Amino acid sequence: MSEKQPLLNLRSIAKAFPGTQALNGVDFSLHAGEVHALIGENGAGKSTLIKIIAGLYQPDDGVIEIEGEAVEFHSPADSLAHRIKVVYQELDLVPDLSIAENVFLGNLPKKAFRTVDWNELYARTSELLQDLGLNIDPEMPISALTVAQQQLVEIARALSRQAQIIIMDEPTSALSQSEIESLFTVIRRLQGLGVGIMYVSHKLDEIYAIADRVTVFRDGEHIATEAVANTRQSDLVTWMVGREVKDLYPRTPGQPGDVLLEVDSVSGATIEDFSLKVHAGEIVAVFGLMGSGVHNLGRLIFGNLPRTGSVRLLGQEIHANAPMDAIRKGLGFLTENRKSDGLLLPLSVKENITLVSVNNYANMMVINGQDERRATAEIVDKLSIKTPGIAQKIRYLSGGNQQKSLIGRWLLEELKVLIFSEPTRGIDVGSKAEMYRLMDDMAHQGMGILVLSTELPEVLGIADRIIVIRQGRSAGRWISRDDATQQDLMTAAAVQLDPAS
Amino acid sequence: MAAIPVGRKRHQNGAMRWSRLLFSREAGLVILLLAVVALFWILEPSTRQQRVYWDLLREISPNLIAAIGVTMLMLAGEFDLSIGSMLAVTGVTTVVFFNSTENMWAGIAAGLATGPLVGGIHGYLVTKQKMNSLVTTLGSLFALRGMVYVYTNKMPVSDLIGFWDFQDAYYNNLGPAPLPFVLAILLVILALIVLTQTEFGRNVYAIGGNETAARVSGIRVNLIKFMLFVICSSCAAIGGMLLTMQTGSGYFNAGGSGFELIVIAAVVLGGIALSGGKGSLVGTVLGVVILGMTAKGLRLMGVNTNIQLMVTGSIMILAVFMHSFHDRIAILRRR
Repeated sequence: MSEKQPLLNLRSIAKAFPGTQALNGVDFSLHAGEVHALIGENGAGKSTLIKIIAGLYQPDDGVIEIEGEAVEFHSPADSLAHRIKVVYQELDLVPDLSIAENVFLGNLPKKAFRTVDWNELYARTSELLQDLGLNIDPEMPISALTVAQQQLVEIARALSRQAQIIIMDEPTSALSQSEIESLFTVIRRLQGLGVGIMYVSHKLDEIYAIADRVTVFRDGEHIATEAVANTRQSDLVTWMVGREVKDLYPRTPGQPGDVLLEVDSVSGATIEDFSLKVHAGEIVAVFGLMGSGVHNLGRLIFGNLPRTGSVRLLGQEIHANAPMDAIRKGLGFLTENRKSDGLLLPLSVKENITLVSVNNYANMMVINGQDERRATAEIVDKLSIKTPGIAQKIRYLSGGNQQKSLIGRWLLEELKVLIFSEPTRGIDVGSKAEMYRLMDDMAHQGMGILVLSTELPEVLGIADRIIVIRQGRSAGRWISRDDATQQDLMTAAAVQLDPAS
Repeated sequence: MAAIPVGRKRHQNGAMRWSRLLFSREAGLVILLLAVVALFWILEPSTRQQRVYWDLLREISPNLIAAIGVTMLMLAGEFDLSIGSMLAVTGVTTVVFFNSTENMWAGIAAGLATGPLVGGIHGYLVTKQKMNSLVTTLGSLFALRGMVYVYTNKMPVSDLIGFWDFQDAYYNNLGPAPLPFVLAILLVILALIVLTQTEFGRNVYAIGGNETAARVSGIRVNLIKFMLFVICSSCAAIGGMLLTMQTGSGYFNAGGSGFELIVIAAVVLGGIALSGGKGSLVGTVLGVVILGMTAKGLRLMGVNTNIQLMVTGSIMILAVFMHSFHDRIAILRRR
């Protein structure tokens, strides 16, 4: 009764990759009916641990015990056989297969001759989905579902295998507030069924809402495991960062100058009739929840998506559908999908930084390598990008340094306004502060900064003015961040979206 | 109480299925095929005879069988460019064994065995050595052809014994249907069942759709890919066997005029996505027939081969355009 056998017990797990010790003798245990949160900055070793539990990596050292018995996982199949299911951050669904086939992927119910028992498949899927409060046709293709629904399909998949251990990797990163609530309801139900849940996140408020215990990793080391009820939020942050974080938001507003960017009743994609202005020396933030269209706004203004309405920079009209025109007139755009839309992963830091401006170092279309290297080196120096050299492949840099390289790409152009979409997504706390300082600097040098974000603390910490977007429309404006509270912004962003609450 | 919603759901699904069928890729291909047939019907009187179509089906049987294997492999996101050279390897091996063993079945067995052998090597290199399948099989496209050239000294290998049954089988019919086509259709049906009704087949789609998802779901991705390479080369070997039956000799240049590209073209025309995971074998069959009919019709009209190339290429581009149009419509219809 006092010391029950844990479902899953990991002892002194170690795993090294060339150049880094990803995990250095960490412990983690999970009991039946428990939600045990694992938190840590990027690079703390959370994903490595998940992959070890999933059987994708084999640990160099340490023991994995399932209900007291030492096991070894050589492949995902071994891990699944012990009724462990990982719900990955990037959803592992096959878009063109039906919901039912995805739920039972690798485990389809069969009739004679190993043929698929379709009736059984659809019936069992319907049951599982209804258990999760999802009333959809299991024959529909996955691609027709929203991200939140897809997440529930992933959980249905875990249930279909009678998983006793479910690992959720950043499960709420793409969910709206109401969807997060229904996910929590499902988690509590699973808890009641005696399932052990490992909840990996770096959103601290969620941990207080759902977790029983919390473990903190930092740089591959186990720092602490505590009952959530006995832990203060500031302790968690200190453990994660290894120091007190003060001045995360160094914004010192200056005197705004002339209007630089004027967006006038722009519509297109999911946006309707949206207007805003950005002055010189000013940081303006647009805050919205996932699905509010906040990210599309950047693409519309920059010309990546077709739009109607007018966008002017210093009074000059920027053509729709023409990012080249936007760049030429002095507008830059940092996308929220750094990996897929921003970086050239296989190429060097230099080639990434000079991507937009490469013509400035060309003479008769031949690039002057020396000029290009000099310009890159200046940027690396100015932004203190941590890299062994400008020839390093950018994929080996940390998220924060990749983001700085992308900023560098734009600083080589003579920009008036830079749009940051999710400027600190996937960036650890330390680099976040640096990123905000950089934005503050740029504003003081007379640039206009437009931030598009779904992160409330960020918006409140960095912006001079805040606009809330809901369902593609403006849903409130605050002329100073001192007037806005978390409560106000969240209400404006969420309330009508979810009439039930 | 539960009966009512279930009944309503069935009805909805029924309606959905009909509209799915109507808007399917295959419906577009059927229309394209009918258009091609109608065009030749008007332009070339000789295509109004039934015999032409039975001949067509006989001629395209090797392509059809090879296309089955290519389709299955491409659905899982992999390629095999070596199938053209496989035809020659199979043909030469078969006839060489005819002559050395003086036994027809020994020759056939040896010829067919080249399929799993070559496919097994591809499968090993791709799944265990993590080599790219496009490059690997491009290599064996050349290497196998070179081996055949060296071994035969670029001379056809003749059947010295004279296994007439072997050759007759190609030209015989079952009822009105040419035997090779009967074989091809049986293999198509078998493959169709495997792809749509078995776990193996659904896993093939899963691998092509999202390989990581398949792997973390406990699907044995490497084993399945290995089997697909074996199946693909084996299908090519069967196709090569049919060509050997047609001529009664092992021809060093069998499939040498871009057989692999014609088959891949037919498969893509049939709607199999290059990235894998999407498309159906029915589309492939239609793709093979459309390209076969186009070539035959133009040949009957006596159009010179350069123009044939142009027309074939244009039809392919038209079909791919249809598919991309279809994909856009499909996205709209989901909204």
